[in-house]
Amino acid sequence: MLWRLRKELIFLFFLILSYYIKKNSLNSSSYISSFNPDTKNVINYEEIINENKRLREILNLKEKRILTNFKVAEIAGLNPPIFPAEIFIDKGKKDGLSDNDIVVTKNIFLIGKIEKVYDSYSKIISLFHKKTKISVIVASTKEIGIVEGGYGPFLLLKYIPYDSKVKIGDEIFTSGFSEYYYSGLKIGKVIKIIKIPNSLFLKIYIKPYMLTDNFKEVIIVK
Amino acid sequence: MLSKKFFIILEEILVISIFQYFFISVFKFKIIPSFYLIYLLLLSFRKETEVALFLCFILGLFNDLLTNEILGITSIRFLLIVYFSSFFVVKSIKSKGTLIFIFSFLYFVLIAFGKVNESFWEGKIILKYSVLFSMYNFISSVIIETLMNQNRKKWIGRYS
Repeated sequence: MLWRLRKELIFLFFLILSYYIKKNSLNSSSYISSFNPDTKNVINYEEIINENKRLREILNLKEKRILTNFKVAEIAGLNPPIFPAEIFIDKGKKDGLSDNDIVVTKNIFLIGKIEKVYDSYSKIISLFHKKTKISVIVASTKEIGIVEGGYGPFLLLKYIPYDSKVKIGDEIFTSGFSEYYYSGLKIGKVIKIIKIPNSLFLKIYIKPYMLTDNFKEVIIVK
Repeated sequence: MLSKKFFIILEEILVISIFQYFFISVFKFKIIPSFYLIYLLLLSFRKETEVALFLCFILGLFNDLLTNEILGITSIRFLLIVYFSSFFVVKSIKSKGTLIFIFSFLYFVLIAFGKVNESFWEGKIILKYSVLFSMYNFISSVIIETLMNQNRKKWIGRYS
């Protein structure tokens, strides 16, 4: 009887084994550290100088009281590497981070929020992620809409009325009406406006600012 | 008999691995054929399902190491595809090629489902790349099948 089912048994055995390996490999920090160039034993002085410069700029935010309570983390992995929907950082629960903390660049451009905090690293879902839906405001017209991810390399701004005066180049900020995001965080600027006949709303594409900043360290706003 | 089969498979795996490594490291295309998948499907069509399932696990892990993927994920994909393909009995190269096209398509969709949250995996793009990947695999399968036949004939000739 068992011999007849050998194919199914082999299949199930290796399937469970593969699943177990996958689960362990995801949890282990080796997967995360494999993204991190710092784990390689190479001293790059130019990079150290640049890093120092970037960290000084971040420190300025505190001195100028632009941000008071924040943590700085290094990016350990991007998934996918271009227009990343998920970003892994090298700080976690041990460093005082918690779920849903907001993540910004050093120029306070919104990147996204922490989705899951692990002991020594965290996973961020960025603006490009399909799950991202943020209430925003158009700076020039003060109209409120919803920015959605999943349209990489751009974001889609929805629910702006058809007769709106919004134009290309207008800046988009968070409105403060979302559950987790403060108001006034810069998201991006309008790059394309599509008028669909017989529609109540415009279809607006936004170019996010987050990629224009140096993408090595991020700031987690507490 | 068993050891002969072992050496045949070992030789084939070595050749396939060289092909796979060469394509991954030399060609920087977005889509490259999966020689491992083709080989495993061809083994499964030859009714060597148990060996194919075992190799799914080993080659899947090896592929993950080569491509820096999460360890174990390719093994799961290979196992699912090869298990379902084992229900088909095919002998001609033409029908093997057709089935490899279909299963490669399903394999790619399986990859895309795993990455559904990533921004650029939208319906049209998935379809475009799935067809491209399946086409590459279809063409490669004819070459691999011919090589496999020649290799096995050589082994039979050597020891008969």
